[in-house]
Amino acid sequence: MEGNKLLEVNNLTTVFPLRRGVVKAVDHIDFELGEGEIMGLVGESGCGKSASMLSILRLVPYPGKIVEGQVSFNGEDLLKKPSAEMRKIRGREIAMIFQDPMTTLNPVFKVGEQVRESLKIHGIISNPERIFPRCLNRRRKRAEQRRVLSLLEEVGLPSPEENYRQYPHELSGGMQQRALTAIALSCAPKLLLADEPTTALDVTIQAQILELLERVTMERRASMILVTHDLGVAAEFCHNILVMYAGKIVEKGPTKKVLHNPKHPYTRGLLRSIPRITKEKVRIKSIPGNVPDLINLPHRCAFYPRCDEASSKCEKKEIELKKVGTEHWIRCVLYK
Amino acid sequence: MEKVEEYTKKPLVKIESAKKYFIMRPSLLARAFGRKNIALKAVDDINLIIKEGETLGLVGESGCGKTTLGRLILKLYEPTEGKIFFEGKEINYLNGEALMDFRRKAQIIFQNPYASLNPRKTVRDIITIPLKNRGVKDPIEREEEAIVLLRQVGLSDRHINNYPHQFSGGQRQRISIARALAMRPKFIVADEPVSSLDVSIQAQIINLMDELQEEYKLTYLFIAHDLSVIFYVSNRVAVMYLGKIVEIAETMELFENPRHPYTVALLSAVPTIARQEKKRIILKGTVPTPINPPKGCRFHTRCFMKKGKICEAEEPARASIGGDHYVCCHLFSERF
Repeated sequence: MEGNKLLEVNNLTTVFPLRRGVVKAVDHIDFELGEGEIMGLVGESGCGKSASMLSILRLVPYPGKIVEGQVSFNGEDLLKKPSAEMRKIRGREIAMIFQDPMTTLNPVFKVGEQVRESLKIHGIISNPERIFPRCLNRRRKRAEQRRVLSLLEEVGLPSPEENYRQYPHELSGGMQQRALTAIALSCAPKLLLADEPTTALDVTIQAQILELLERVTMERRASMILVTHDLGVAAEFCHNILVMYAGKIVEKGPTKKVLHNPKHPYTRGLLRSIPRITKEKVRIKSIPGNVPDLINLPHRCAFYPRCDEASSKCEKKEIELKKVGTEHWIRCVLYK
Repeated sequence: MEKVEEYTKKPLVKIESAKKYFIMRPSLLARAFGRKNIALKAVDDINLIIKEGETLGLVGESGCGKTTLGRLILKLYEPTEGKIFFEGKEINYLNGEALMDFRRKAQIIFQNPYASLNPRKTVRDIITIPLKNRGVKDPIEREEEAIVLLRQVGLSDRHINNYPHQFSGGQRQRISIARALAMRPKFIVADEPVSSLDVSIQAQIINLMDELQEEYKLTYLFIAHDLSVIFYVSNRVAVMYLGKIVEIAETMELFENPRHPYTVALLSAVPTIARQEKKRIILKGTVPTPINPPKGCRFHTRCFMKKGKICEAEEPARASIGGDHYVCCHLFSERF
């Protein structure tokens, strides 16, 4: 899947200054994404994966702010763009699919209208309220409708004409997620950010949605960052994986390498703690302790208190991300 | 969890042809138009035995009736039809002392750790109130026992004064477990106890429940939708679809030789880290509503191994595959 690097993130840092202290939600992350690539961003709650996605789109909610780094998309740094330009990019060049479709879709507008809205805002179709001869207006409206219907069909909605006229609550979770995907795809984005798109869905529906996302990404030669806490999902759908812990990337590389030959103690601990369906039952070993409080994290490896391979070397100031193989990077003192 | 021979084969819970229909009354306006009451058939003719000392996994997607079944067994719902026996006695006819005894012996752990603890009670209250109900009269004794229970679930004494909101999801789940154990139960319905928890915490809770089962000789009905977790914790697994049990077998047997098309599809839909064959069976459509389930075999509308007209007309009878493995499917009905 080589090609030009569509997205290059360097040193991206986002902080939330709270009364109790500062939370470094995203701590100097860097990665690259090529055309047609699906990258998995894996980690548990609070590790900074959603915050990273929001940072790329500059949608970080107050009081959070991006304080460092570059987000180079198609060669241009998004962090330096004026907001008017960012608004043109959001939804058009880069689209996001959020986790819970029930709370993301607007409950008072019909599904078809919400897909059309995206097309309208980005000027793909024009606003029909303009003054035109009536007959041309109707033809225009019908052409627009057909465009939306073809999108609804592409995402696999069972009856596009009917679904077009329905409200979100009339659709099941899986169908809502498909509608959200249609909105995301409407302006043919080059980059899709999918934030846990299937967490709220049943297993068989999850399979459908992931298959859909994989298919449309391939067909449109778009790239996708798939945020998930499910390593199985990452294993099956992602070319590369980024493992995050307490705001930092602790391991990154091609999926097979990271999951079959994990090097970071956290990744290893995670893999050992997941029950798997195998020929013989393997005992799972949990990682002791809890994810640390992100407020005013001490300057050492954040995983140190829970690590079973820890030593005094881990307490030194900052540990760099080091290369340990082709394309395989680790942030750990165990590796030079 | 692998101790197949250790548990006695005595049935602790026996369910005979249990049905639970929820009657839904349409609005006044709808009734004016002649709409009648409709039945939501949450649990429809279930026959099941839970053996003492085992962990029976109950798996299925949203709306299949697994939570309703769990609550029926605990007498939190009254069955519309059918009989449920606990320790040989029909729970419908339990009164007074006998009922109190049943309630003590059959406990529940809920799914949502954020909604199942009274936010206005301290941990001390949450654990000592059941102790009082069990008959521990001396408050000092109650306090001591509460501390023992807290330690057993991996929390510390100093937590006893705290309120639920001061704990993480995993810790709250531990409190729920301590609360259930306070009654010295024989049987616990664990309704998706780890679904809302982070992956590394899931492992901790699963291991904890395993240790407690061994120590207190508990019997679990483990309800979950995550197949890997079910695989890991269960001795036997029952698969539910739209209010019916479609397949039941010992864990290894079910996962190695799934027979019902739904089980096959469910297993293939689970994303795994090490998938042998890349073939995923993607089911078409969504789960029909339990309000108007399909006639005949409930699964025929999505079945990819449909036999023919018989699937649409007749409900399949339960057939034995051999050695405690049963399926409800017309493909196997002749085998008898």
